[in-house]
Amino acid sequence: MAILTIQSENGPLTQVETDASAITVLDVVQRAGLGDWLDADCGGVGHCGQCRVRVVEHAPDPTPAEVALLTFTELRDGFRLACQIVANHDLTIELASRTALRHAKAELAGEMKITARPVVRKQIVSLPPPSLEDQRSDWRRLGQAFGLETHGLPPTSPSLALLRNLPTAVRADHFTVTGVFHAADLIAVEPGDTTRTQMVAAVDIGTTTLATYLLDLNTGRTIGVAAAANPQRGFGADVISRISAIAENPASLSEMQRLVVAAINDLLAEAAAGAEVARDSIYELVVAGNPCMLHLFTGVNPHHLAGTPYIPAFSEMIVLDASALGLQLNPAARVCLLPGISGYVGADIVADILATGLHRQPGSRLLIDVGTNGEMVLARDGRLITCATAAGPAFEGAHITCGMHAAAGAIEHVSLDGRFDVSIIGSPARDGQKLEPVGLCGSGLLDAIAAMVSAGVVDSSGRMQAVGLPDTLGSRFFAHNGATAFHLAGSSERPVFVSQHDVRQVQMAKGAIRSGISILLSEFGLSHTDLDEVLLAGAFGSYLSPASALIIGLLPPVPLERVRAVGNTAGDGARLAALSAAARAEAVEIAQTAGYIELSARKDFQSIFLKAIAFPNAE
Amino acid sequence: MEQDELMRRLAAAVTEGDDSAAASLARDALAAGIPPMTLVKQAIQSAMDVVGERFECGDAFLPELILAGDAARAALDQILPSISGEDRAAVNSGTVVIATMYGDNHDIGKNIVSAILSTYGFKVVDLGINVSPPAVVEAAVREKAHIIALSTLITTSLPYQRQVIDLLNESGRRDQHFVIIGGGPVTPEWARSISADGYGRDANDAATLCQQLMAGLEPPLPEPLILGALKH
Repeated sequence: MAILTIQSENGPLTQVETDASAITVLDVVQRAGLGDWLDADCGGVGHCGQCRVRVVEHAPDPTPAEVALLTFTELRDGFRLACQIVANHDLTIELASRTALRHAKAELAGEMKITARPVVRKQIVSLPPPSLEDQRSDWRRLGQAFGLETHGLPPTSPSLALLRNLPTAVRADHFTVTGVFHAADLIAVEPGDTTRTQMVAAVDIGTTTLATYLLDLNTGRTIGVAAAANPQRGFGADVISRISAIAENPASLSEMQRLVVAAINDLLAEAAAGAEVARDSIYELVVAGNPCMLHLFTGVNPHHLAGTPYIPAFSEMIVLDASALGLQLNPAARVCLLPGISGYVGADIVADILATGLHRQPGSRLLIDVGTNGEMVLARDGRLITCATAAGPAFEGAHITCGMHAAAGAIEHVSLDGRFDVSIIGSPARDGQKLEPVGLCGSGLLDAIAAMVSAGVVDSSGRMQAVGLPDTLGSRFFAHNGATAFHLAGSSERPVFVSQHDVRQVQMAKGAIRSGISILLSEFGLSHTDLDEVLLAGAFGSYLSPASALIIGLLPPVPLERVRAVGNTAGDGARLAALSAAARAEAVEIAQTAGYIELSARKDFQSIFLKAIAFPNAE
Repeated sequence: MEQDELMRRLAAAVTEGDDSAAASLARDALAAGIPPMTLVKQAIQSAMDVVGERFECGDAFLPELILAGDAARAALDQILPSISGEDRAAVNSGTVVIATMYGDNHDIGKNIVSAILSTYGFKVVDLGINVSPPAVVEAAVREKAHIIALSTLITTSLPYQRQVIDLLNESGRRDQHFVIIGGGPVTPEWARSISADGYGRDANDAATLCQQLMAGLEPPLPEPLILGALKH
């Protein structure tokens, strides 16, 4: 049991009790709802040096990462990296204050208790050697030593692999063995003391991206991170097209299952190699992802998710044998699929909630994961309600005339500073040559539309019109395939532009998301003015400009400083569940208690949607 | 007010989506002695054509289209009761049975198509959402529908569009009804592959499509009419 006191230079913020070793100060700070006090771009692996805190007394010896990233003076003054300090003893940590707002939020965070006892744990035992006087079987001897026999009943049956390994394992090191437990189940027996190596892994299976994490249970640290594109993309960019691919060819299901497992194997091999640990020492993989991704990962046909009434085969927490899925971890490793809420609000959103602490904070907060399906959660004093909207792929550049993925040459931001200034993804200008824009990615599109609304190029109905505009803007109008278009950047031979139809696509996408927000707010009897924060989760949420999202009305008109990108909280939540049995139990509770609104069953959706299509009037 | 001025203002009320002005101008126009058929064809439907063209090039969008449809409907409600005899038949463009396919409960697109078709004088029988192919065919037979219009927004419900055509073929009724299809994942290629009679990308296309089909064509067409396939 350790007590972590967290303070700012202006006084105490909160006190957190942790009752096991496997958690870092960074995790504690994030779990206490103070995550925005600390940046950790590297995901807490000691690479970026951003999560700097001051240990008020008895700073631990610096780790190699800290020596590399902090100055001598900083180290002497007690500065350390929060991701490197294990919260296994009483500590007082001072966070550098950043803005008044963050103080206000800290007060909301309150006190909490973290129980970081992991689900996977190792226990070492020395068995009394057998003799002619003690002829108990190896299994009985082991079971009694571990206290597996309850009320005189024999323990539950071991796996065949464990049995086959048992006689060798117990004798290899003079009857000293280490048992590997998954919750109450003894899943493996290893000769001697192997408690020094106990790893688990977490993965967020996104429709477009896979993010894997390797965690050391002895320290609670993330020791490796690896990410890659989801190799199922060849079967379709979105969930529905992958389901359709299976409808057309049933063999696609096992192929997609094989592909995602192979990619996760590769990523974990990469992470393990980087951390210099064997994949064999990974005993569990905790999985977050949307319902369709979890179906495809397990090879369960997601067909019935596609059509009304949208029924998943499972949305509960499921524990499986990793080897049965083809995962190359420890042969006895388990896989834990985190629970979801509905057919379209899945384990990824539950993990978002878990990581951001939405379910335990007072006040009202909205979390949005913008993607092809925009999922969202509204929390009010611990109550949760969710919905999913079919926003479509406009924000991923699909169905947009000059749309493209966020690759080299894509305009990623547009600012309206007298004229339309664009920033382009790619290498900086060389030899005085300007990088020519190729197209617009989602964040650039959002900015472009916002700038056009602000400049009066687009009216509140969404119509592009040149009347009354200065020549500098009026001269940018041209006709493209019979529709009005607005020249944004690039030469007149290869222009990057926004057409009237593109504006309409964005209106539909943002209208869908905004309608979902309106319906959630009304369900809790709230107005947008009641929102303490709006959190943007996921990759697009990190890149989009909150100001632009407010201008086009994707978000309700809250003050800009209440909008915050929270990053890949689905991965963070999966990591927490991998480290802590209590966090995992919380995930189950979140999934069971969160409400869900099926928007397509709402009679008022059409009228709300049609209103949400308009742009707010620019002031 | 001059008859021309009344016609002009009624058309403007429809394009601007002002339903109460459209209704009262329709009453005034009837009282001023303008023939009901003239009002329907030359004021209301031509105003809808204008809105349709604006929608086509993106200058108008769904809310404007719907408001215009509502205004046209409000005017028609004033005018239609006063049309009788032969004119009554002339104003009836045909009967359309419309449905969102089985497995799909998205109905905004289908609702808009229904509203626009009705302003062009079609009798629209809306079967709602999540409708099975046999229920579509049964309703088409019952209503003696000229056109069956099938919408779906999700790919996995596409095969049910084909099933409707299969059922019509099996029961020997394929020559009784045109079958037109639309919705997000529906493509002209899909329309050809299932031997539908028409494809439209949006509500405006659907109105044009239905008018073209009813202009002397007979089902089934050897090749579907394709409208609005390319927008960019």
